[in-house]
Amino acid sequence: MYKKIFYIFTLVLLITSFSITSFAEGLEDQKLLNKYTILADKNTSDTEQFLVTITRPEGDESTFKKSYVICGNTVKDDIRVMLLIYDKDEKKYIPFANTDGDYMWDIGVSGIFMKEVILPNKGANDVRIIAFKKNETEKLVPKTNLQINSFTVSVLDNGIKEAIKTGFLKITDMLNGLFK
Amino acid sequence: MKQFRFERFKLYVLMVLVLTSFIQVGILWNYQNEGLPTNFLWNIFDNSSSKVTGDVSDYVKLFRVTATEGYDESHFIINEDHEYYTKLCNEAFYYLTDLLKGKNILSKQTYPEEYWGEIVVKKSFVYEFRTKINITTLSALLNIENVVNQEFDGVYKMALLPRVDSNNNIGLYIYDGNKTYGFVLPFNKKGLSREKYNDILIALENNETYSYVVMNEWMGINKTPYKIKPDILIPRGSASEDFEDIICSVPQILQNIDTSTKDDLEKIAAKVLGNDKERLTWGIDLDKSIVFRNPSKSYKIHQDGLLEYKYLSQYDRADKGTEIEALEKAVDFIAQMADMVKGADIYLSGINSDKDGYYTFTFDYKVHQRPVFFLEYPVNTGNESFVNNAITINANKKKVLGCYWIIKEFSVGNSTLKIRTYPFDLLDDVFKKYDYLNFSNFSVKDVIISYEGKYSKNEEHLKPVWVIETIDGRYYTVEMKEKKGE
Repeated sequence: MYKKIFYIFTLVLLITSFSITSFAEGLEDQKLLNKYTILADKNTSDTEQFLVTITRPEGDESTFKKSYVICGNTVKDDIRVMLLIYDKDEKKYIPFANTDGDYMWDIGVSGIFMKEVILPNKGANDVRIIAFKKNETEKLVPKTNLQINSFTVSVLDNGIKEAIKTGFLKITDMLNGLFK
Repeated sequence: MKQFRFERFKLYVLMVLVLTSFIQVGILWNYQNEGLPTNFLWNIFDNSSSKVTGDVSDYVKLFRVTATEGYDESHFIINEDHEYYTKLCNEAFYYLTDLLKGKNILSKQTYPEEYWGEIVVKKSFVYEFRTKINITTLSALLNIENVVNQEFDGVYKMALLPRVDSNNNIGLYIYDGNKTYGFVLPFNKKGLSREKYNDILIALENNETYSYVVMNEWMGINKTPYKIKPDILIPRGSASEDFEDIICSVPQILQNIDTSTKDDLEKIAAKVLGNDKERLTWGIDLDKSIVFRNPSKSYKIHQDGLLEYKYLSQYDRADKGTEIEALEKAVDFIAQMADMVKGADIYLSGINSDKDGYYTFTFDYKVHQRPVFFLEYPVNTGNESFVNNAITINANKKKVLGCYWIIKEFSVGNSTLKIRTYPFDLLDDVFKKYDYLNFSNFSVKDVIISYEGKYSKNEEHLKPVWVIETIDGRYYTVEMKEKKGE
């Protein structure tokens, strides 16, 4: 009987300790956003891409799919990336989780990251990619150890795609007819 | 009179000497090339009538055919059972034939390698060999006598762009691994029209088949910390795919052999050696492998199905010949025993023409249209400690000089594996598994979803893996994870 209670108690203890860790991480991330309000502020200016080269999006982009992959790379060590999206109601950038459920991740040993997100809005999605040295979070300074880049990724309606296709076909048909 | 008789005797002696020297030359010739000298005269009359000859076109096959609507769109793999697969391949070879003959070329231009990356993200149909195929080999396969093209010396990949301009023309782009060559030709009037190409693409999209994306569409050309070839395809999203349970085993004929009985050994000798059977002696080695040999040839069949062949005499370096001549010899050698490999297709996967006096050809298996890799497969018997291909053959225009062949047969089990084809952690996983890798010694030439075969004397269920091939020819594998709970 005591044995059983001991096992159950240990199990509860283990689960609680794991939860505390992940909760603490979440808190830590949130603390960062609270500490550096410039991260969420719409008016914050972009920096050069001196820590991470963002390869997708390359600038403001359009896509026909809601599933979108954000990519970048770095040759530097210990770089953490944070992904935010602009919330019109809150009038600030808020965490934007990828399909793994993370809005913050470390760039791995390959130096390259690829993260899939589901863009929530038809039309414009204002995303912000933030990169910083993860062991320098005590004092993050833009252009020194903090990189901020904002992009607009627009999800276009598939009807537009069809219109472009059929439009092009009509033009080519017309040209073919003319030069026959 | 006495003098006359003596002269006549000398003439007879001379004639006998000439005749015996001729036979001796024949014997030596035969000994070098075929087998024991006792069979020399027999060979003249027999002339290897039962020798199996292979057809090179059965082995020089396209590795992959893909299609896309264009930039940011999905790429689809067109399988061999697709209703338009044969038609699409015939179309590509029709335009390639025109190109090699120098017919109907409206314009041409040469581009750097990076341009191939731009081609594959346009509306296109892309045809890939696993290795660069020399023009002489291609022209032999396409029955072209006079090759006019001087622009490129081989084809590694090619693409058809059905919308290259607003006229009734098609773009044919050739990639040889270093440069991209673009040509504009008129549409084949009896072939697929531009509209038909469109219809095929629309059908592929509507089928919602499994789709891919070009890595550099996401990562940018020349923007990564190490070189990534411009046309690497990876699965488009965090999806999963059904994989068949492929079972790999040593062929029954080798498994069931009783090495103590002459009948069994004769049976295997007939299978492996064909005509050579009569001219070779056999025995069992210490490691229980079966050995057939004469002074010029040695065949060794190991218990895991590895066949090791060696030509033991000297060969003439001047006999290197052309790629197609040597390839024909290699294919003849394979054809002799190809029916021992059940359940798999054999395709040419590599050519090395840099060797002095011979070519090295590698071949691999595809089971149910998926490649099977045997990487770092231990051989430990000759100069090599391992091989990276199912078949590795050294051959010149006259003969096969050496061969390692992992002879296996394949079957499909009842279960289906649901495998997560999540590509986003792939590169990190490679760097973690092979911790000696860094940005300066790593590159990506290809990423292939494959099955991995390993050394085994027993039946094994093959596991799906990511195979990452580097530009300098190294291979790294990462096991694909099974998706549980569905």
